[in-house]
Amino acid sequence: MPRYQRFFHYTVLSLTLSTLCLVWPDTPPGLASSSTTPQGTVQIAFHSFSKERMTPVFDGTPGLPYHGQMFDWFIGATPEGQLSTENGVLEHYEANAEATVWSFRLRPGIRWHDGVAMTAEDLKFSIEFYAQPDSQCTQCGAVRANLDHVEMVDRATVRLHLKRPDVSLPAAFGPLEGNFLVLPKHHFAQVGPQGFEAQPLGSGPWKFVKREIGQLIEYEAHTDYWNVKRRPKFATLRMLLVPEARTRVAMLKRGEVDLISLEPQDVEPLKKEGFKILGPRDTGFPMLTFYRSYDPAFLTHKLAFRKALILGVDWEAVVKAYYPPEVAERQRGGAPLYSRVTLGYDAEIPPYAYNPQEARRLLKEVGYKGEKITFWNFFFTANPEQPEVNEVIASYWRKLELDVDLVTIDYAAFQTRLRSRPQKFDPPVSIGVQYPWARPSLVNNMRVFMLSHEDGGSTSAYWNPEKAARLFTEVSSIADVAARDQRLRALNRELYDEYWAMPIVIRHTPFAAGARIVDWRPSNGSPTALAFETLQPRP
Amino acid sequence: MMKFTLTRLFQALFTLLAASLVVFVLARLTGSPADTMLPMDATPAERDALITRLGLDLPLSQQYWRYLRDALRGDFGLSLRTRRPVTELVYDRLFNSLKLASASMLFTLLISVPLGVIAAVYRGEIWDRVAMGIVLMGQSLPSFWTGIVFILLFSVLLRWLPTSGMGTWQHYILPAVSMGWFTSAGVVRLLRSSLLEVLDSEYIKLARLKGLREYIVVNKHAVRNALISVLTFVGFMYGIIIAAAITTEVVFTWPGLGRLAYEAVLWRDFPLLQLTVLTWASFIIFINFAIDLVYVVLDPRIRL
Repeated sequence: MPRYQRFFHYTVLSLTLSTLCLVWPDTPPGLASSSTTPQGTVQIAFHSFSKERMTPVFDGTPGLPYHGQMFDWFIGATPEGQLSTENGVLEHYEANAEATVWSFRLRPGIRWHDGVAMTAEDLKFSIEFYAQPDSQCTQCGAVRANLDHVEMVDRATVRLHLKRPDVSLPAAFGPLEGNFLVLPKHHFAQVGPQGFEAQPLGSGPWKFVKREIGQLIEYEAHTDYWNVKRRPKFATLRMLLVPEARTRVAMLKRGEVDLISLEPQDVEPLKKEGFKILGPRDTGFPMLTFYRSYDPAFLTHKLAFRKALILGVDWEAVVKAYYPPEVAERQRGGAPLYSRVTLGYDAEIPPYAYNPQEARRLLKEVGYKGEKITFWNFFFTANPEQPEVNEVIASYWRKLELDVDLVTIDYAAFQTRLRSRPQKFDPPVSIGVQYPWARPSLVNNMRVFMLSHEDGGSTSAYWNPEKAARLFTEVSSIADVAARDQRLRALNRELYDEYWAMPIVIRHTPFAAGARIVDWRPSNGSPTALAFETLQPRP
Repeated sequence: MMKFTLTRLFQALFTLLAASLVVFVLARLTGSPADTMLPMDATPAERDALITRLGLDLPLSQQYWRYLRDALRGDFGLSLRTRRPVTELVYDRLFNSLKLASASMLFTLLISVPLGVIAAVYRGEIWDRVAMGIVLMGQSLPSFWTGIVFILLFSVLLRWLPTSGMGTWQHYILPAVSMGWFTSAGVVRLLRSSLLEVLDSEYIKLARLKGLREYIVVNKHAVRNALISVLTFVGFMYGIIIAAAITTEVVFTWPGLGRLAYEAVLWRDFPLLQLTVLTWASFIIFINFAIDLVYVVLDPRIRL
């Protein structure tokens, strides 16, 4: 072969090989697995940082997006919204037959971010810390009231001894109903509770880097995280506090952030512009609530009056007008507090129908004579659309010739009325829209919304407190899940026929994602346990 | 002068005391921090326990006395929400607010002085109407709305400026303009009327008769005198801007005192709210005091 030909062949061959090397991907597309090195920064604009505390003991579930990223759950949850040991530090938990003693066994090999091994001492310390008198976390009060003591059985096992049976206890230790995250005993001993705020330490998928109060918090990926499936795909997580919804949308459109929390009215326009709408589903339900209906002086104590109010509104039309499918859908499957993620859900039970004729008849039956209906108009960060929806509800009632006084109030001021003993509501009618979270155990929601203040409830919205207390005690003692599901199913039908409240919709928690995010798998059922480690970047 | 200064200082202290009492009482009438700090599922018993721990069960007079006593020692307490010293939180944010207010005031002056002069010099003509139209629009549109429109226009559509936050000089432009546009109306109207008055005065007529060029008459002799009355207003507005920046700071995610106050109100974070309002009050009192002194220096006709 002539020399120039050989030179030409070598040149072509080396060029081809060089090109192949350049274009060959490091990892085949679609296989950007958990073993790949995390890269880049994911920026999230969030509407609230709650109390901006790093110690979960002093904040409720709303604080989870802020500090929850760096901790581990005792018991994890599946993306479908069920408790699961797969994503928590406990490899096993069980109760005795009476549900008065619960055993928690720790998974081996878990280490804190400083390399120290997690032990049962950390579990005991955490539980006792949550149960101390000045803790302010969600479910802290309930656990504190019922916890007798915590016993350390061995280096991996603790036992919780309760005063009374509680089948819903694990719910407090998972991401769907509580915010009990595992805390490092050795680190608290070194820095103290105040020092922990400045130098927080966890064991979760993200490591704390820095924060600026009122502005941002930043984490880096924990590349050696024990749960390989949950190792973050992004190297850095930066969350920005942006309270104004319009600004968050602008930031997303301009590419300044990758993910934003959304208000309902932004869903459709952003979808049209090609942004993905992601986020946990079935997270809560705005619920029409009849305050002090336990008091016979109130018209809402009468079933016929409550029923008239519920049948007098075209809920289907309300839902259609205000809630895109990504935001909410009509609540089905039974009585208030029941949803697809709760025990006792019954898909056969239809939502309450619109029947203005029947509503008029019922009002006549109870002898309504134009008494004033006070409709407290407030909202939570989870349902900013509520004041507008309330206007529509009030207009339906006015069509029935009810005298509705829509009183705008912020929830903090309203709570003073709600939590006072006795509650500060004047007869004959006081109504509002509460926002229970879709707690799968159902028992915790029964406690919060149905029990009287004297029995440990906080809303006291059920018309018959004695019955509520009896039902709560009964259901809390059924340790077998199948049997409890069966009992709750029967109860569902009974409560449905009592019209004691009105679940308007089952709400989702929508977020809009930019082009850099292809998927996200937070757990359905919780609006705040957002598992940002499952954010999947575009390969 | 000494008597004037002492009287003003005494008035300032009295105003501060009154402001602290008003905010102390009013804040407590709007609800309890126990209802915002505790989770939704907290029982009334837990609520009562927290109220006792925070000392909110004591008589209001006793609470106020304790607050005054600690404040005089420089201890304004911890934020109920974040448990950090409120002085630390307010101090950080105050300087951010001052920076934004200064940028905003700079914009106000840059736009208002030329517009005010144009409006006065071309009284009744098209330029007068244009100038007044621009500033009146700024005053009629709420600054949170103009802020959102500016973000959509200059950040999202044109991509010239960042949407929000604080960091580079570009971050100042949109919030400063949206706040400055709002305040410029007052300055322009005041400067216009003041300048019209000066332009009709005898010494200006004399200057014109002497054959001075019109721009020298206006800029050197008339504007300088007309600005004295504007100065008081601008100084006062500087304090007002800081206190009124709540919506702008929320829209532009500006970490200033306004946003801090907004959060304090939402959470019923009494110690933080009290110190924020006191800081605003002190600032406005200080500025008014300083303006009075400067005014005396600038205008020798004033006798104290």
